Amino acid sequence: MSRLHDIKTVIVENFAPDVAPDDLPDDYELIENGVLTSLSLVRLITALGERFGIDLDIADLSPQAFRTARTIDDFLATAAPDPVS
Amino acid sequence: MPSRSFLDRLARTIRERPDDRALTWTRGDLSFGELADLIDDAAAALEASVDPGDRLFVVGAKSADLVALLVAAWRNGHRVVLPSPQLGETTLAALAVQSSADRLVRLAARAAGDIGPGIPALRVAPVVGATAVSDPAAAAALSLTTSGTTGTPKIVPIPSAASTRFETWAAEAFDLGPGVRVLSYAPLNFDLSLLDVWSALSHGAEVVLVDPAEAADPAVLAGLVGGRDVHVVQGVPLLFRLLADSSGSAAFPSVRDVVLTGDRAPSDLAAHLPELFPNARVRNVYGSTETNDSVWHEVAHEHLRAAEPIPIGRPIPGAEVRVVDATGAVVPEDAAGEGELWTSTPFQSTGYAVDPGGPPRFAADPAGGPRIFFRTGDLVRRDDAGLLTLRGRQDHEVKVRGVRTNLAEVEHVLRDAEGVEDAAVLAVGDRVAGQVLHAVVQRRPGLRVDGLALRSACAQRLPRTAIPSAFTVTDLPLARTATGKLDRHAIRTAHIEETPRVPTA
Repeated sequence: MSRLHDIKTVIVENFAPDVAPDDLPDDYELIENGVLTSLSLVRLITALGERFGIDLDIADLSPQAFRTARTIDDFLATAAPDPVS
Repeated sequence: MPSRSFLDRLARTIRERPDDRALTWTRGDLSFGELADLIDDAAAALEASVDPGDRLFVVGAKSADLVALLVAAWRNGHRVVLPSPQLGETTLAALAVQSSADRLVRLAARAAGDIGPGIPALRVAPVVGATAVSDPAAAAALSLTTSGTTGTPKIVPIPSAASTRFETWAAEAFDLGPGVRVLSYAPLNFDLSLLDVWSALSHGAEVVLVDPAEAADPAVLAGLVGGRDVHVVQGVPLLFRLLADSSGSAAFPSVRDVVLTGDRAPSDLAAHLPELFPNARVRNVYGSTETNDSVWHEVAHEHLRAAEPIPIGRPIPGAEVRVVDATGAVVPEDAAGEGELWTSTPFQSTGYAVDPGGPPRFAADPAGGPRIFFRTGDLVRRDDAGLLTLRGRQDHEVKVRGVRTNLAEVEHVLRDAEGVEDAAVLAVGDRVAGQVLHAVVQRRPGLRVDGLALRSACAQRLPRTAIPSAFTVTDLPLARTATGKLDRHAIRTAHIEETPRVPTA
């Protein structure tokens, strides 16, 4: 399983259980379309940290990084170059 | 309608046109002469079982028998309270006491195949515990009950003078008279019956009664409207949805007046009306049990086809409205604005039989005039041209992350989305956000509904806070009340498991 797929799984499990991970397009605007809100970002960051075994510092994060599954993937590539999965 | 003028008019029609058809219903048709016989029979049955002057709480299924029984009761000088027969025994008993009725009268249903001439048996019981309350309904021959989905229904006395004014207005506005056939879809305890049953009958029109047991059957409805060449159809969006479903591409050319009422018609349904009723004038009519028809708008067929929101329009002749904004200020008559709709009509009640508590719903004119206004609880927008458009219920406004959000608006957007048949949006408690929206979406048969597309549809037309956080897709029809309004309580119970609130701190 790719990291992108794992990211999608984390997103839908937590914020859109009516959607299958594979149905979530890479570029679907998560914040603009209400899947993620400012309140849910904190929970997403925690969940991603647990899933990938990395420690993300919330203070360093820009909401821009969480626009789509792809931007999250790009962001994690920088934060954790060697994904544990 | 129970006024003297109603009884006089009906008596004249019976005398002058005894062979004209008065009622069409599942157990056969009745001429005005046959209806008169049924009324006489019911009057005799009442004389044998209640005292003169008794106030009657009448429970019975919608039927020609119930129509005859009510006329007989009014002719015998009784005041009548008419609840929904669907209410549970406990609620019915409590309402009977609240209404300070003397006798509870139950009209038996006919046995299958019984099309005999007499009225079915009456079961009469004294109402125990009723107290003589200060009664604004003393002069009201008819009291209706509201159809709220929560709590005990409220008893709404309709003063006789108000009934007479309504009857006169309705007959003229919808051209009710001999040779005109009017569909009666709503239950008799709804204010809609003042138009499609009582005004129609007293003016010599024929009433085509829809049996409540068949009210959800598209084929039966189409058979009545098309097969009986009905001219006037009044109903909630649900009725028109059923007629549209029944017909495929068939039309109802006999219908010359369509009265949309009760709820906002979804745009896709409205767009269907011109082909369904090619010869009809379509009017969107807004009213309430408390004030009856109050605001209306004739909708051109092009406007219906354009699938734009349909305004409720302007006050009917003799009615006035106020739009009161969130600060309590009246939006000036000639200005655009938004707020709660207050109405005052020539047909209105003087107040509930029993004060339901809470802020008074009948109140002085907020603009300082002499009339009493009814606070509808409905939110409207008035545009520059002075046309009112319904936006939803005030009590359907919730705050999501601090932003005022109208549940009906979200539902409206979802209903217009691809593959969606119906939608309900409810506010549910959330440990973090306080309140979030949960949408329950009924999909069209055989169509796929994509939750992401639904979110995008909301995002295009609504603020971000109004995008539901959770979606449940179902194939089952969403629960609706008898008037076709969403039964939010039932939907919540059926589809939404609230996350138990874990005490924090």
